[in-house]
Amino acid sequence: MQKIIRLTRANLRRHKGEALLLVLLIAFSMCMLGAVLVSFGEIRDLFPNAVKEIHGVENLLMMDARYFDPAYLQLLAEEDSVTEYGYAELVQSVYARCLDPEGREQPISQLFINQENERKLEQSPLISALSEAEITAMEHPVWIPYGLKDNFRLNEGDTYTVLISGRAYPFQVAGFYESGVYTDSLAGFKLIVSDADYRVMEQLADPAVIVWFNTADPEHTDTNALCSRFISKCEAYSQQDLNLTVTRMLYLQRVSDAALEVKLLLILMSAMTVLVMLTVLFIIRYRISNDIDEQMVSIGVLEALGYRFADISAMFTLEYLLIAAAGILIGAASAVPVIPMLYHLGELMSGHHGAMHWHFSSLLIAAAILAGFVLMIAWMRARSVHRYPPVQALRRGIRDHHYRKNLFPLEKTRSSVTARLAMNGFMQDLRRNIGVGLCIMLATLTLVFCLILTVYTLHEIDFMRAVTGFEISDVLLGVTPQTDLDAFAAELLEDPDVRKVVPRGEDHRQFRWKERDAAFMPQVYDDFSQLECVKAASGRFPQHENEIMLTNFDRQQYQLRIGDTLTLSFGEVEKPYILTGFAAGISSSTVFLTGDGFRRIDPAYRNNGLHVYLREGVDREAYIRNLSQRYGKSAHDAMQDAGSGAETFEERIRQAAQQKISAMMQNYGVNHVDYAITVGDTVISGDSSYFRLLFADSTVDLIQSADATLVLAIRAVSVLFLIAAAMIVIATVYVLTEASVRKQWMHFGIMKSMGYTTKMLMKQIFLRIIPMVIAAAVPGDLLSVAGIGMLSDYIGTALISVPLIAAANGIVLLLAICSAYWSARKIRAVSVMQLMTE
Amino acid sequence: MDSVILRTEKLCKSFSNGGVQQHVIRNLDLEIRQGDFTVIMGASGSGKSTLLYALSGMDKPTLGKVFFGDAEISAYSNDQLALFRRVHCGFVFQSIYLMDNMNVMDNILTGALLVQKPSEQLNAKIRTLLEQFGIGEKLWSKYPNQLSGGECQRVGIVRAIVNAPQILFADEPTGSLNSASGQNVLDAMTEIHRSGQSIVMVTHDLKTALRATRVIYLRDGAVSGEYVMQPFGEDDLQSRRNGLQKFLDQMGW
Ligand SMILES: Nc1ncnc2c1ncn2[C@@H]1O[C@H](COP(=O)(O)OP(=O)(O)O)[C@@H](O)[C@H]1O
Ligand SMILES: [Mg+2]
Repeated sequence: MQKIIRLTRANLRRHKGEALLLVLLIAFSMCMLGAVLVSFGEIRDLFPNAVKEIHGVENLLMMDARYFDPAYLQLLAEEDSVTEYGYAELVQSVYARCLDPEGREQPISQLFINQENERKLEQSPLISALSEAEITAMEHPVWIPYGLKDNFRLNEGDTYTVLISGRAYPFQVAGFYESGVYTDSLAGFKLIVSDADYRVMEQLADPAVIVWFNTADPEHTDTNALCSRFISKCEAYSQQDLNLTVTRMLYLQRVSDAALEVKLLLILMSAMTVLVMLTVLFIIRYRISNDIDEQMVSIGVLEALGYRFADISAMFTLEYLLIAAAGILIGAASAVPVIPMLYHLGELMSGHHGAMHWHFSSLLIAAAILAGFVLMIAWMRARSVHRYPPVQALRRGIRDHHYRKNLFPLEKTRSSVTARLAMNGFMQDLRRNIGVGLCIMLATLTLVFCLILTVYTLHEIDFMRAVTGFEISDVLLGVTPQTDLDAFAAELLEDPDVRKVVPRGEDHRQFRWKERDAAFMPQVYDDFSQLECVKAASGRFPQHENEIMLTNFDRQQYQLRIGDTLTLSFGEVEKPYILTGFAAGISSSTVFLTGDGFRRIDPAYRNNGLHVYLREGVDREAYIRNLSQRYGKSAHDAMQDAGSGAETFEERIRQAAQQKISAMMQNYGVNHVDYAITVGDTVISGDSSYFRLLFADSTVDLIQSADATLVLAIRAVSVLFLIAAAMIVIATVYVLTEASVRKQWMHFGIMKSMGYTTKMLMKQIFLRIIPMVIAAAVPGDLLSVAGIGMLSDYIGTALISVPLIAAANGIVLLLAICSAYWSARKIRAVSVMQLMTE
Repeated sequence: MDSVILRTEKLCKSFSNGGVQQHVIRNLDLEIRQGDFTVIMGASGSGKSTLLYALSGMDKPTLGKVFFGDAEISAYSNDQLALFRRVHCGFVFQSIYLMDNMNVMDNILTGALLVQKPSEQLNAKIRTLLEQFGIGEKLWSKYPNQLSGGECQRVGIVRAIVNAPQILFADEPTGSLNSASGQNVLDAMTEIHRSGQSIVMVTHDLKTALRATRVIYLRDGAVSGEYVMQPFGEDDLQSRRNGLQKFLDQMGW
């Protein structure tokens, strides 16, 4: 044993560089795997735990208060699987905005609830760093859910400004609470306000009711069907069309939505670990084979002395076990800061906070997996000493007589000796070279893929335009109902700053597909060919009134085909539509149709908005300001004008009237207002024709705030993968070069005595390795092009970029050359003097 | 036949062994003449190999100069030295340094192609040389492990002379061979010398030294004596042996 340890130590010292690389690779794997194992369960349970913690309700149905009747609850009680139920009142402002930390307006819907109603939904403790007295002293205290706190980086005492119908309502942040519902910028945020403020909000926005129920077995209850049944009963009871006003938030869906992005992230990290460990596998196998070859004589001596094969195999295995131990320790240590970071990312992405538990057992499992893996591959390879009984080992073996056919005899050389020698060297290690080539291929694949993703995500907007599958123009306009959309569009187009104007329609009411109990949000365009971001991945856009297009995601989800007929319902009306195609991108649950198509099901439908595309270099903010001045006050401007601008008494009156009108239009769908106000003898009159704009948003800002975390996560993973791939290239080439040089050490000495220069020998090594790197990179490129092609088809944007692929290959080659040079440098130390014997 | 091809001027070579300076070659002046079969003798550790490596441009002297003709090779860079070895020197080692991953032909071509263009003539020339040194066609595609020690060493000699070097250096070429094989190798060397090849060979074996035309005896890093003989085979072997033996006895061998 003593001897084995000594030999192992000597081996380690001899292969310092390779040992270090292996330690790094294993450390990287350990860090990733440990982080994934520890945080996976924790992050997955963030949402369910949060709900449990605050005794939150599981399934929610949100509806307009006007349609609500407490008698519905009795209908819910009739359901067998329902164990608990109830309802809570709150106020929803779908069109509300708020100011982000940079003071920009963000269209995020806001819900207001008072403490009494909040306690009917969940019992989250309200956490504050402030004292009771400080909170009581606040005029408009607000309690903010963690999702919003993280999004806007809010602290106690900060001002949080809500904008409704052009007026600003500043709140003071009293503290924070965990919430199970409305915790992200897409769904909106739920704010707990004082009773007094709640009453004010009731006047400004739409009172709504949340009906909730829990079931005995949330995992296995078909709550969707239950909801459909319940709503039908309510409709029958109330003789009202409810389907359009009810939004479902069902437990299982909420659970899977909450952790979706993080899960994806963790899966990618696991894939990365697998990739790196594959490299470790190749390197260890390669190294042990070489060591055995090289030390065949020492092995023979040991065997002659009476060492068993197992002892000698153990000697080789022990070396890698020590390396693995070092890697695992370093990796575990580096996982310690990574795990909380990952957990925090999970919190940010899901909008829920939790207390992380350190599952050290998971770290131990990760360590055991890696150690076991290394032990297994090392042992399996080291067992090949069986093939060398002492005599053969001592005579430098039988193996040497099994020479492969000499494929490239120098006799046939017509060109460079160096190239020929390189070819020979390559062929002699063919099998091992293939293993290394495989690693390089995978690394190239990863590098190309991730470089393209990284570069595309650098410019967030272009990336979002490419992948979301929704139209992202420069400015999104909502118009008042009486506005003649075509005339308005033509008028806007006269502005030289405007490149294109496309009419659009949006409705917050859903189309339902009853057979599959699915809901689709409508996106309405009369001429889809005008769009720049929405693309048909297959088929074509709808043109006729009976045609629709769904998304790629829904195609997979529901196994749909072009030409299928779907019967969609909108309210009480049902109509069949033919599927003409599927939209590319990551969007889902969306139905694209023409205005005529919509009118087929709802004759009152009108397009209600415009996409405005500005010319290159035009300032969006300035354009929006200019627009509001000409066509009506958007919320932000009206607020800014509140105190200023109006000089005369009459102007102030008009301004007040206009604010009232805009509030009525936005909140109650009022079409037209005439007013006449008598003050003393003066009559101030006007109408709402001035108002053509309901809102004007910079689409870009909207997207940026909503999807920043997603883009961030994609970029983070891409960069991690890039690092892993680079490490793989460096490590494999280094090990290959190192082994080749060591194996040829004596030969190089002989060659030097014949007059070969160091440069020639280095060139020979390079010629042996670099073409292999290139040969391995090519299939890697092909695979990545195929992969990116598939991704491109899915999102409908060609991501393949020849310069980027070239750059990725350049990186692989450069890393390979540097790494090969770094270890081939040692050839300088080869001396003819070593041939001297005495 | 008497021109000097290699010359040293106050050649010194020292090694530091664990901090202690060991002066192996001290102020050595020596001339190697064209056409000579020079043998360097001396006790083990007297610096024979060190001298040979300095002469052949494998190693640089610590002090002093080595001239090849008029060129001072001791001032050459490593790459210049490589070029010098490639064109002007051939080398035969004690241990049989063939590359074990190449067959006989490739081992020789590895050296030959450094200087000569690949051609069928070259291949033919090598085959003739191999035949001449008793390596039959059967062996040409064999690998070193499949040959005997003597066969290997003769392949080594063919590799050393294939580029027609000005000087053939040999460091105890028979040291690791049995006497019959050794004899074969020596015959080959004598044959080459007879055809006009200058040879510098290191040995501490009397039988080997008998092949020389000039024997140089090395002691304490300097030349302590020199003995000249007729080319091997042109005189009576017994008296040749006696003469050399007497010289070596004088030298304290
Ligand atoms: N590279 C070296 N480093 C240190 N000492 C050396 C080196 N090469 C030779 N020597 C020493 O120089 C002396 C002469 O060596 P060498 O020339 O090989 O003797 P020999 O006459 O037996 O061939 C020896 O004592 C040897 O230890
Ligand atoms: Mg020697």
